[in-house]
Amino acid sequence: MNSKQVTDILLAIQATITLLISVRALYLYSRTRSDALFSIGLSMGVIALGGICGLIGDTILVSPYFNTLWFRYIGQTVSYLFIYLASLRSLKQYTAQIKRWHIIATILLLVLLFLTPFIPTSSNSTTLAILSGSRSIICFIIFLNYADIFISKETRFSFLMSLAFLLITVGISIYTMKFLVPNSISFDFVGDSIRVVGLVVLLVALFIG
Amino acid sequence: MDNHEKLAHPSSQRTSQQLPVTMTQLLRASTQMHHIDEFLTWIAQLTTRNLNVQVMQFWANQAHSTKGTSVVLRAMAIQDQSLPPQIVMNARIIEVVEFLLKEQRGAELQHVYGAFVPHQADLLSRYGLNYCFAHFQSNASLLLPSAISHSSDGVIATPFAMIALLFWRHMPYRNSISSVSTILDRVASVAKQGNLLLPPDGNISLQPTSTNGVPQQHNLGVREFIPRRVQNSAAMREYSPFSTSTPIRGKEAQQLYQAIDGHKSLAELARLTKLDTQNMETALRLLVTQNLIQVCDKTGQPINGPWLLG
Repeated sequence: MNSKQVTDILLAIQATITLLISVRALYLYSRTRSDALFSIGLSMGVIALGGICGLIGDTILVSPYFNTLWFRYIGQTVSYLFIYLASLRSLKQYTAQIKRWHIIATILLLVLLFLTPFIPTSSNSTTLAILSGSRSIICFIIFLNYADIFISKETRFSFLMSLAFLLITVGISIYTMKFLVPNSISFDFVGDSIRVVGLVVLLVALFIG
Repeated sequence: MDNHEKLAHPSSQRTSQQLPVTMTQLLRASTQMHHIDEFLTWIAQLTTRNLNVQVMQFWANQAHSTKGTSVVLRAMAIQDQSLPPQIVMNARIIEVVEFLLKEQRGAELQHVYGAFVPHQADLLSRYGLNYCFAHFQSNASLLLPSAISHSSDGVIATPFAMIALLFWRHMPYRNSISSVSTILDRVASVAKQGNLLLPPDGNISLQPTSTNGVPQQHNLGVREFIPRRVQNSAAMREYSPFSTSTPIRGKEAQQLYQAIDGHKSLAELARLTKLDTQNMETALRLLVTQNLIQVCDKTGQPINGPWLLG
């Protein structure tokens, strides 16, 4: 098994987990109309879509004109941002506005996805490092938020969420190192593996937290 | 700290010293309040605040003129407002309360795993409700007026039989239990003094009140009331929204909930959703009962009481 296959397997696991969370959240949203569920459902849906596009780009549509990295990185940053906003108590009264902005942002992301053939295929590593690293910044903020909630409320959900986002932050940070350090394939595997563990914890948090 | 140490803890003296104050307040309050449910809510709030009880509920039998008797939650206080109400208001809790009311007895302080089915006990424990205690009291010579929230539908005054259900996070001090029991033992007599419970031949007159103390204007301007969604601030913060979100039963209720934006009045919502009066009322009642919405007057003050059922 070569390094590309390992990466694809990890990508498939990530896409499956996020798709599972998205489907469950949107199903529950249809029954409860909870804004928090809408945020999770849409955010995880976009992340899953990014993962699926990545897989397609690696396996079926192997073409220099199918560069989904921009959509995947920006999509994740935006999606995690809206998960963060959904968890803020002070913004509860603005949930309708947040929902509207989330929908607009998602539409713009889909436009970005459809513009994939026109996106530069060989972005420089600094640009990619910034795009990739922005995800870890948002995830780290989410980690801090849940760590704070856990300290004051001591609930299982806040503990698992803080752990999940800590792992995702570390995973993405290590993964991002590959853009800055030449010839460092191991960053890719280690980062993706840690992120998979983080997503599994996120899945557990949402289903049993 | 084990249980024996806890029971002997000197701070337990504090709760017994608070009791006379509470009883004095109890007597005064019974004469100032208009409805037994208001009185019970006040007791529950006082108990959760002073005796560090996480949740206190009053359940009672409610007789119907046509369909026998059911168990109704008369009052509840929750110390941590982020706790989703459905954790302590569900079919499994009602089953236990029904059993106790039928057996005409309470239940000693115990771990929730000893009192509820494993799934419900898991749920309670997950939300930090580890110990429970049930207190039963009845008085066949007194009638309990119909609940504020059930003032129509053929409900009738019912012989007084009530379960007070309490939940704690940690094993409470021994004196806490005796203080609670002392207060609860006197609820019926104090409520009778305040004319909140009635003799069997009494003519029951429901006096609805709003939370802001302003008398209800029954049906007057009701269509101008504005429903607002109740935000569950704990979902996505302290508890998973997968487990805390309440499914909305019924297509009409879902349709109405979707249309509620916090600005439109009931009349505007009825026009928008094209729901007829009966469906609108049913949907509204469902959403209020499930604690998914709160209805406010034009000034933004929440409205409680029987207006909805009129």
